Amino acid sequence: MHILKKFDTKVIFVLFFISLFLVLIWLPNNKIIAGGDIGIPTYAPQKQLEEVTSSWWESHATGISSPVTYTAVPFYLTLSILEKLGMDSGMTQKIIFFTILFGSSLSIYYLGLNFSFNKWTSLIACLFYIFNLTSLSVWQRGVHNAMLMLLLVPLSLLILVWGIKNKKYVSILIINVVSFLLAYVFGALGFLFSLWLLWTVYIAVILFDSWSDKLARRFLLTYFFLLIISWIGSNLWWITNLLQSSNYTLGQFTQGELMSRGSDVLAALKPYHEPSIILRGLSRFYLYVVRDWGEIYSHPLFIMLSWVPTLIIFYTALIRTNYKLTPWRFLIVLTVLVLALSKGVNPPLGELNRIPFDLFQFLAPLRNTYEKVGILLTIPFSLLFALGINQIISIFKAKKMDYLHLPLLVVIVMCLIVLVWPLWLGKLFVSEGRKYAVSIPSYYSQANSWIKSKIEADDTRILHLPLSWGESIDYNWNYTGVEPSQYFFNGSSIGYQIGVPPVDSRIRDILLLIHKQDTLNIQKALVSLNIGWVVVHNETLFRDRILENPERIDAWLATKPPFIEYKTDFGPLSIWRVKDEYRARHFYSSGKLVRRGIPNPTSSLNVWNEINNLNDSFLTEIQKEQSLDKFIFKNTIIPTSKIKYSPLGLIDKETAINDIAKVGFLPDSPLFVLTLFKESLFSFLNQNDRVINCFDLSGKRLKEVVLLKRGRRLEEADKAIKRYENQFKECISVGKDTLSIYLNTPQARDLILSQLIRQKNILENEFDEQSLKEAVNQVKDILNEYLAKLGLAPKYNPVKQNLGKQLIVFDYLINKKGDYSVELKEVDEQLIKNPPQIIQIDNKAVDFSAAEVGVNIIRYPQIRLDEGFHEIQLETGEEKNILTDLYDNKKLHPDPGFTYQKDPESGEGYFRGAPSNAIVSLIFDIPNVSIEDIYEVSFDIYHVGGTAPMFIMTHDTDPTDSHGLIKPAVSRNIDFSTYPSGWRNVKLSYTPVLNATSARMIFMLSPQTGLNNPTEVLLKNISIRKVFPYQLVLEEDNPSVMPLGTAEIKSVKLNPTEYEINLTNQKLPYILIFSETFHPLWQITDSSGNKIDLPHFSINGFANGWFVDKELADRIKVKFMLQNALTQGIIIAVIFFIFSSIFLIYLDQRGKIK
Amino acid sequence: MILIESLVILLPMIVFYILGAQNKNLHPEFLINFIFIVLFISLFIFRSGNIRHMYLAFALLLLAVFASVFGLNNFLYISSSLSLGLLILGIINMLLFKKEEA
Repeated sequence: MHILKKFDTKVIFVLFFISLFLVLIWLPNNKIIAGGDIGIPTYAPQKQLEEVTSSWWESHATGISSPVTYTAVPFYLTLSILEKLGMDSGMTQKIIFFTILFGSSLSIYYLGLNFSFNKWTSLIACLFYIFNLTSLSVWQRGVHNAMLMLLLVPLSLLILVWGIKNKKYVSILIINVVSFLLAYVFGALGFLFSLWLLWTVYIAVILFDSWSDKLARRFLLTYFFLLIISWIGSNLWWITNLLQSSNYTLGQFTQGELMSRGSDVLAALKPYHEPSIILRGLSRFYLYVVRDWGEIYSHPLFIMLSWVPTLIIFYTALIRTNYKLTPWRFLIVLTVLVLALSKGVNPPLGELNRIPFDLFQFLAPLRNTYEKVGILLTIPFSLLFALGINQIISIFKAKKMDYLHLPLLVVIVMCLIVLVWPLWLGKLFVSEGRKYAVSIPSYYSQANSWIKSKIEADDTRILHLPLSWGESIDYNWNYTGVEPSQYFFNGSSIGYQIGVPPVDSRIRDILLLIHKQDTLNIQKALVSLNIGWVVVHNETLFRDRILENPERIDAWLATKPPFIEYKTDFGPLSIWRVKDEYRARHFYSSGKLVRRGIPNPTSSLNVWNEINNLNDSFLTEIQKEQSLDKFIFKNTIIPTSKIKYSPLGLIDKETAINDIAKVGFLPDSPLFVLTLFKESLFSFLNQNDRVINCFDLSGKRLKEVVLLKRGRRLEEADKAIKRYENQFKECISVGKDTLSIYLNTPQARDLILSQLIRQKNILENEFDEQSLKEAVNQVKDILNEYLAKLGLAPKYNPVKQNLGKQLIVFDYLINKKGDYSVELKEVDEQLIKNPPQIIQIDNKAVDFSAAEVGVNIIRYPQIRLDEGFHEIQLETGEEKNILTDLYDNKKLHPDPGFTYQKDPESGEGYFRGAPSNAIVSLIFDIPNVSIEDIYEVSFDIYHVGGTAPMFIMTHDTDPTDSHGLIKPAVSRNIDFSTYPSGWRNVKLSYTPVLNATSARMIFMLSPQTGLNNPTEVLLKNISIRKVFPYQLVLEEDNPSVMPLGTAEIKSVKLNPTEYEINLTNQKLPYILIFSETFHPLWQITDSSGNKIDLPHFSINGFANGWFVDKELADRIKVKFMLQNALTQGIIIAVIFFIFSSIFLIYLDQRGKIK
Repeated sequence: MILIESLVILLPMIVFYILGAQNKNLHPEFLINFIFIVLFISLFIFRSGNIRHMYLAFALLLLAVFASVFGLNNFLYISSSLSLGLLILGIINMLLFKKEEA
């Protein structure tokens, strides 16, 4: 017994020092983990604690509600206590890491002992638990939930094993306490499933093995039942909030969207979950895609080593005596279950894994199964690895092959050290390609101290510039990852797009306005967002993330915009304040009200011209309350898409029918069921791409219609059209979320587009029969509208197109039937001189010339449109070639390696490039590119011989590589392999990168070396034109608009979820605006907390608006009602915990007394 | 039994590679799913607690190691998937037909 204790003490010491060593080398000096998609969660824990105890996260842009907010409370509570004890964020993070490493490895050690493994086996197991490829991925990923899971899993299992072994119900109480302390884990709901999977499998295996023992069976069933009840009861403090807020989170999506989200993500992750990857517990993404540690893991030695633990684990299954051991049975069953779930849609029978995701939408958090469930592999892998080693040694001993001990020892050391070398060498967060451990510069805390009280007094928010497209940003102090302002600054910060589309649309609008330096509209845009302060981050590295250049922002601010004043600098942070007279505050009553059609997510809002006063507002949705209609001053509809018409590929009808699909049995054959069976079986087994497969099947359905019709079986053909229509609608639904990705993938785009073009061709040219016409027209309509919505083709074929003119097609979604005036806005002089003509509205040819031409506006006659989809086709001349002046200059002074010559026969001029021994380039500089427009590049080229030319577009803001060379935004080798020699025209579509102000177009020629075929290229007719850069806007004025009243509003922020409002001078009716993200749970209550029912809607694209048509009390409150769930949840959970604890202790004591 | 089940694995694999050589490529998932389903059915035909699946799983895992080191990606995909499949079958077999030894 004495020896046992001594050994245990030694193990504890070893684990203690290993944990300490690892923490110190992982986080040297005062560095903390920061960056990636996790931000800096351990910075300023007190601030984070305040945030997570609130159901409304005000710091993220205009606010957001998170369903699993509260799970982080114990974590941040612990951190803030450590902070109060005088520890900085570096030290607190070290303590957390140490606790996880030491606690988890010790748990595995005792788990091994509880499973009757000997001490050395248990020691190897706990070392392998720290040093394995799965743990390496978890640590390197840097997400605290997963790190804490590494502790919660073995610790909770140890308690469970101990409790069941010793028949102690009190172990349930300990599990509940541990679950509370580590509740941060449940912030990722997938881990919750994993944890319960672990506990359930253990209890199930024990139950299975002791089913014949009635007492044991009764104990286990009671234990499991009590575990479930008491765990749920004790965790109600966060579960209540989750359940209540989930109604609203899920409510944002349709059922179909949720279904496709779940299993489609699972399918998309297929390559990362292949059995060859998960069997080794490694991360394909980090080791073989991102290659954080270079090529070393692709070396055969490392590949071989990565399989060794798996081989040893599998080896334990070959030893018959293991089958009698309950711990082994548990570990191997757990391994298999976890692997079967982690493989996702990979074979065998991967398609089965899709079913639960398609049936149960609440499984969505589990869709990256390998990340969420795969973490459990660390338990059976470490214990089975150690057991396997032990059994191999036993065999060596039994067979007297002691000389093999040394090689085995070498293999063990290689697995524990060499295979996971980044853990030992401190290359986890900082290595050549990674920099996720940083020291935070002190100027952030200085700036926050200065601004904090002012923000609180103003109840306003900060705009951080440059804003991030998406969510990531790079700073020059080695930070790279999610924009971290919400960690540095108290109050609310707008710094990145938060993933809530209406808010992101407003942020995108500001990004575009800042880029354009449109001072007047920037001022208007800031008002309804309640922005009171602007912080310019001059430490931003703008090039790689395509952000606005801080120097440009500074240059704009140097022009002294009238609405903003400079205050101070902290390091590279420059702080500006929006003047009081340019702010509408957090709460205000609306002035003039306009309606703006659903904003196009890829362009600016285009609404600011209608907004004149600070409190003027706009609606972007149709409100249920018709009462608002009479107050709307103007209804403006912006096109949902704009395309320059070019006919889709021309194909022969018979070729289209032949190529579209192969058809076996027709629907009127009794054997057609076999076809359907084969299709579903193939979809199940083959797992071809779901979207492409769906469109292929729709082609097959259409061909069946054609064959039936040609066989004059019209009645059957009519039914087959319905079948085709249903199949096509299913494809629209299946591809709803992902089709845009497919259309950006050349091969998938070709497959889908060619299928759609064939179907369109067949529908338009094959069917003349009267009896089928109606059904065919209906489905044709669906197909064409689908193509139009994708921006691929107009819904209605142009009735005419004049030579030398271009046709621009605008699509609209009309929200209300009415008479609309049609206007082209902000047009230039050239267009004013030659105004375009409207030649078609939907499928009717018209001839609308401009009715009125203003300074920068062209008006057309009013048109009447019903609610729904509409299309207007506009005929206009070619846009001006931007290169005209540059081209003439270049003729006189061509770049080195080029000459300008004239064809003696035609007299046409061209550039001739013939590099002899160095690369030569023909360069055209394009000033003032517009990031909201699409350009069309066109040139004629003759590749006489040698190396193919390269076409490159670069921008003033492009990043450079490590050699200082520009990484061009567009680079294309021009492929001549399929063309006969001679002149050919090349047309390319080009969109400038989002932070560019100028571009450079380069034709680059390389000399041919080694062959007697010198490079020679001729170029002529080089042009770059904007694709019709104007919007054709529909407007409906309301001549009988009723004026809205106002109220004087003063607000006091009690906390982020509750505001007290004082109302005076209420002139009914008026709209009360609250500039936080719209959420149905923001409600108005009287001073005693009773809800006041008022029409509640989204206004200004994102905010809360209430229509007040009856006088309210002078003092009211605006509350986020979800906050009540926290209080209720805490009370219930505490009561439940106390009672369940007493009951569990009583059960144990009762046993003792007996 | 182990011989029959080895043939159930080997023969379709041979057919798969012969077809592949004739440019009649089948999706490897067909092969894996087919073998898995046949072996699953055979569990209930043989109803034996023999641990043959584990031997086959281990052998296939060794082949996967070989394929992995030599960069035979298609073979790695097939062998590792089958190895996992056989481990699953082995566990089902253990739970259903090896109770008496527990």
